[in-house]
Amino acid sequence: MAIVAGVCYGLYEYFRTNARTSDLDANVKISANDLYNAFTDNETLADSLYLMQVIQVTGKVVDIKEDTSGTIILLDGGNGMFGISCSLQKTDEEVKKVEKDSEITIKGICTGMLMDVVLTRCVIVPADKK
Amino acid sequence: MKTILVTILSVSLFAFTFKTEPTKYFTREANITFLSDAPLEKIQGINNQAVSMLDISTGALEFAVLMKAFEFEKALLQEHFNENYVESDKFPKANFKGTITNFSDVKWTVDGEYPVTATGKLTMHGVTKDVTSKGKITVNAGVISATSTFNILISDYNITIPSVVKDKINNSVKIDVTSNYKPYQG
Repeated sequence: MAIVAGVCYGLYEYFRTNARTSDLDANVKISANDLYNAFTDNETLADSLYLMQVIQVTGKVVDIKEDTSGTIILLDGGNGMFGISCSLQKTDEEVKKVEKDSEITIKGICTGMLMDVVLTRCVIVPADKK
Repeated sequence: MKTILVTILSVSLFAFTFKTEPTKYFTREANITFLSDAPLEKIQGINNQAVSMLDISTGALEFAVLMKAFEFEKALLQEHFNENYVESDKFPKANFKGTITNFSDVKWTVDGEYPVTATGKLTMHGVTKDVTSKGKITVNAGVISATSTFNILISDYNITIPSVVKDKINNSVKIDVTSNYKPYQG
């Protein structure tokens, strides 16, 4: 019995996919400006607070880029050119409704900062769930 | 009135004469994919949020990528990649700094496909190695794109494969890079 349970657990672990971000509760709710400023002010401190955390970020859409692998939405960080880069699945129906210059809330996993703060596995948070 | 008109025309002509095409191009959506094709398992990691800068006046080319932003089909592989192999807590970023050696062969304002060679230094897992790769620059309606495929040996970057999984991870990893640039406004 223990062997069967062990094999089942091993198979479960081997085939396990990443949890859907929409099913995860946000560890942090923050504005795009505040998140961007946190990283530009002190990247080490921001890493310790936000890295690999589920972040719910609200900000103005300044760019939407679709390609074969998905969609990247850039939220304004108050800097002019850089901000929060959010990677979303191409299959996310909510993405199609997003318009440039609108304010939206996105939930994703923070993976650090390059020129933008980078969030992966993002989903749009509907207005009634903010 | 005539003087004002002449002044406006002169300033406009001056601005027109010295209007320059941008020389620096940028993307925050470069796609970097790596593939390990081993006898027992194919492992693919995809990152579509790499940053790249290209200076067409010098051929200077740079890429930077967050290791934690690579996505895998299986969560366990992603965890092993970050914790056991690239140690992304300790080495969160990888970067390439180099040049397109034959950048002067590319007609940056003329639509077409141009074979290029990039050479430079790739830093990953705290190790820097010289890398040379062939690729292609495409100019299409003013949009500049770059693609390249090359192989690296992960042992070159002090990444050790435990013998128990040596049939699941190939020491030679294929890297595919695709970037679509836009003028840098910085």
